[in-house]
Amino acid sequence: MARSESTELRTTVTDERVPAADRAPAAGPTLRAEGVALGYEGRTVIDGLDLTLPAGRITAIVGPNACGKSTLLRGMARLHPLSGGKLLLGDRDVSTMSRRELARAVGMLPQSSIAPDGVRVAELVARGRYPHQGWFGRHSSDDDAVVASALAATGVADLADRPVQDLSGGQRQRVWIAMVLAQQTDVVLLDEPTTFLDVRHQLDLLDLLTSLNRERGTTVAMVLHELNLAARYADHLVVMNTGRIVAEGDPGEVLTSDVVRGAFDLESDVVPDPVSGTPMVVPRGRFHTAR
Amino acid sequence: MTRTPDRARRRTLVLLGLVAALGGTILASLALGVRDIDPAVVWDALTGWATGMPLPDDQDHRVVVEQRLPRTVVGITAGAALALAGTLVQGVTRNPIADPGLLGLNAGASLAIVLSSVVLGVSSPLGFIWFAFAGAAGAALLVFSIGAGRPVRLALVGATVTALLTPLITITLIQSSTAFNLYRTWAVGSLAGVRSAALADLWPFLVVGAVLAAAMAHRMNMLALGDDVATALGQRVGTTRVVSGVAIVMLSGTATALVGPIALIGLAVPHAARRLVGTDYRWITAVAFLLGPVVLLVADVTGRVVLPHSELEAGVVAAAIGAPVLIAVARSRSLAGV
Amino acid sequence: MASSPSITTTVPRAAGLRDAIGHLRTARRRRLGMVLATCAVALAALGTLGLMLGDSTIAPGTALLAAFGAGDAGDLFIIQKLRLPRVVAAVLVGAMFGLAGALFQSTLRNPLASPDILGIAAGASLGAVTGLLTFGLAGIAVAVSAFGGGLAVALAIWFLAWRRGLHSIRFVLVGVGFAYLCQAFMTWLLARAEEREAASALLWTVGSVADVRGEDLGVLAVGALVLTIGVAVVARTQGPLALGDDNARALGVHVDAARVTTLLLAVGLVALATSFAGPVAFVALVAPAIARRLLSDGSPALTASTAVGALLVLAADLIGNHQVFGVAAPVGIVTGLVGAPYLLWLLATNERKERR
Repeated sequence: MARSESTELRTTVTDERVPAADRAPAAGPTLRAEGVALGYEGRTVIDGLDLTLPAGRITAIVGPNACGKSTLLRGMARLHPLSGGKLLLGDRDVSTMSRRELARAVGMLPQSSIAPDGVRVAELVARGRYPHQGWFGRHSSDDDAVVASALAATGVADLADRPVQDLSGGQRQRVWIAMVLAQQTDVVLLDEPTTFLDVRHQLDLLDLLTSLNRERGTTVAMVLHELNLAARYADHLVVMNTGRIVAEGDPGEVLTSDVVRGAFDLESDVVPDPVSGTPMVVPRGRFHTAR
Repeated sequence: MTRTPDRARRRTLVLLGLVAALGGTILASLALGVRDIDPAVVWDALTGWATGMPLPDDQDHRVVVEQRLPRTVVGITAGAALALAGTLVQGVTRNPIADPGLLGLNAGASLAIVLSSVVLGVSSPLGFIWFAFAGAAGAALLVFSIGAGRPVRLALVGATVTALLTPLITITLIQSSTAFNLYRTWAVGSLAGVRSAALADLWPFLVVGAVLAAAMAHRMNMLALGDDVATALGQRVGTTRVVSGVAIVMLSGTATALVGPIALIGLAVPHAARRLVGTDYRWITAVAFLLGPVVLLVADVTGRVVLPHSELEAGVVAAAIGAPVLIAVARSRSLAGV
Repeated sequence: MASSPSITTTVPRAAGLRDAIGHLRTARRRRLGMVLATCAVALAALGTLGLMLGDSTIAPGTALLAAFGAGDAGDLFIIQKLRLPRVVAAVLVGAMFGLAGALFQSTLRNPLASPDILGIAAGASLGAVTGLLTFGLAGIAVAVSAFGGGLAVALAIWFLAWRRGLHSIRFVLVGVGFAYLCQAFMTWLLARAEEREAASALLWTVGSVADVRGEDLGVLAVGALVLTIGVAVVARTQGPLALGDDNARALGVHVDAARVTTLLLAVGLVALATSFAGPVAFVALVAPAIARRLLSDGSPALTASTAVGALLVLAADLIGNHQVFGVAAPVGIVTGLVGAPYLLWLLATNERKERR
């Protein structure tokens, strides 16, 4: 299976903009949170929240700082224990799955990732194979094929033998995403994957995730800071504030001045993005207003 | 802002309380021990000694004036010196787990003492004080030059230097039983024995060290905000570090030479001070100056009375008090600040 | 990255890339093989030297034959009863400390975590010194009390550092506190004891492989084997753990369970080795640092650390035993003198790298 996938990837990744109609069907089941509660040491951050990540679609979660969006994503990947409610993958309760089983279905790229001193790109990406390997962790040539495919898909194949610590921020982030791809999951969660990247690399990265979604039918959900990019790339937009979802749905319907005011306490105009036609938030500050 | 008068009152109360506690522990240190002496007799003996009257032929008077008074004076000065040095180390490294022992100063002093006894035949505390001093300074120089700037690393460099020097100490001790006997009685850390004679030589170092520590307290407040902020506020960070380093070596080198490597006093006292008066280093320094002697004297008096017929040295009791403090710090939620 | 490609520009043919990845993996394995082979050759050479040298020098051929049970009675006695046990003990103890150090460092994600600094060695020393001086124990009973001391301190660190999971920095700080506490009590015991007894206890705290033989050696070997099998089972979690707790969880590792098991095994190795040989200084800290540098692939370097540890202790014991420094020194002194400067150098150069 691994091998066929790698060839499929190579032949189809050539076009950057696959028309929406040509999308691959959803690769896996829907990940759903039902009435989940999450918190830290007695402080409740999220209490009784429902969220469905539509299968085979890209979901972006936005919201002001400390609104609980990262906590929610970490909870959905089971990096953070639920203090209430449940997670469903398709119709299976996630709490009945072993960690390994979940790791074969749901991948997650957390905010803080540490590359060990001296580790090389191919070796780091190969660690994504962990949930698929046996007791003594021997790599097979199937693993090599998956690693190769992940490196190719993220455009870091040339760097395979380079130490990760020598790479630039943009390259490094691609390598980490390659690691998550090597995990071969149908659902990929990413916590602020574009932080610390310049605008060019942000677009590259979101394009990469989009082609993954379009070609493999991978379900993608990510926390983003940049509202306009979130509106442009997401099929499903979730706006959060103080641990609750204030609006969700198609970005074109969700992202209005009222919603932005409610979530961010910010006055803004929302105009169509001249490139994509998706909503574009133009914030108003205290100065520099022409009108 | 409305809390400011409260805080000022609280700080004043803390200082007054410490002065009273110091008075109490001094009295206890003079009165308690294998032979318990009535406070009235202690008072008589002291006033008699202070007014220059000839010592009466009374056992209690002799014990107070000839044994416990010097021991108490050594305890006060060494306690204050260790606590001030600890405060400075923590301030200058911005590392709440640093203390002079953790930075390898004790191992440096130990090695110097052992070598001076084996190579030069030095055998009296008066003689090896200068070597202890030089050893501590050398170790401090090595540790700071490699580990400066990174909190956790500095402690580990200190531990590594200790591990480098310890085998050298051990190999010397194995070959010389005089050095071994000298070392093991010194290393345990004790106020007993006549060390006040050494104090007569060393007090200038303690005074200079204490004055420098007091002068640095305000600078520590800015250093606590980071090198960049301190520099932006007009401070020469390098100078602060060097002056503080000199003060640390003077204070802790002298104290170590006097009473041996008493572990963890320099660590525990500044933390207790921080709990009592907050984060202002001027207050921390003042409180540490009073609290250090209290803790060391309490450790010493406890060691005297806890066993029926023998003494537990102050160094052991001080470690038993200091280790729980370190563990409490490690368990506290603000650990991220390390 | 200046001319950042779209994701398509640099895709070589998939089969070619797969093979290239395979080659990289093979190259890494070959490098590990080279390191292990070099260590094995050096161990064999130094081991033979250890068998040859002593009060009477025995020719290498005779010595090796005697090690396998052939030769005249005199040689057999010297080799089998005196020199071979010492060589085997040095290798075993070094391997155990090396492996334990690598486990500590990878699972706590701190290249400087080691039983020397964490107070576990000090706890074992305190246990042994208490046994020797306070209860007048001897022989295997000292080993048992050292084992108890090390284990007790490790469990105490654990219990106190545990706060919603086991955080590395907490573990290290609490460990440093215990190191000081144990040190203070040990010094106190030494100061109170009679000179002869104190001197022998002091020697014990240095660490020596001179007297591990017969049954002791058997116990040590069996214990090492059992614990190493345990390590082989948890070893695969170390790769993901090195990427941080979150990544490890996302990859399906039970982080707390993996860390607890790994630390238990590492503590077991340290306590066992320490109880027979004393806290041989710094092997657990330095051997993994050297091994990681030799491999330089970001792996926890468990096998290489084991081999380097064995080599380090065997070499140090030869140096100490044959008076290279002018006196016959127990192995713990020599490893400290070799290990600490290297580590200081490591720290100094690391610092420069971070400033860059």
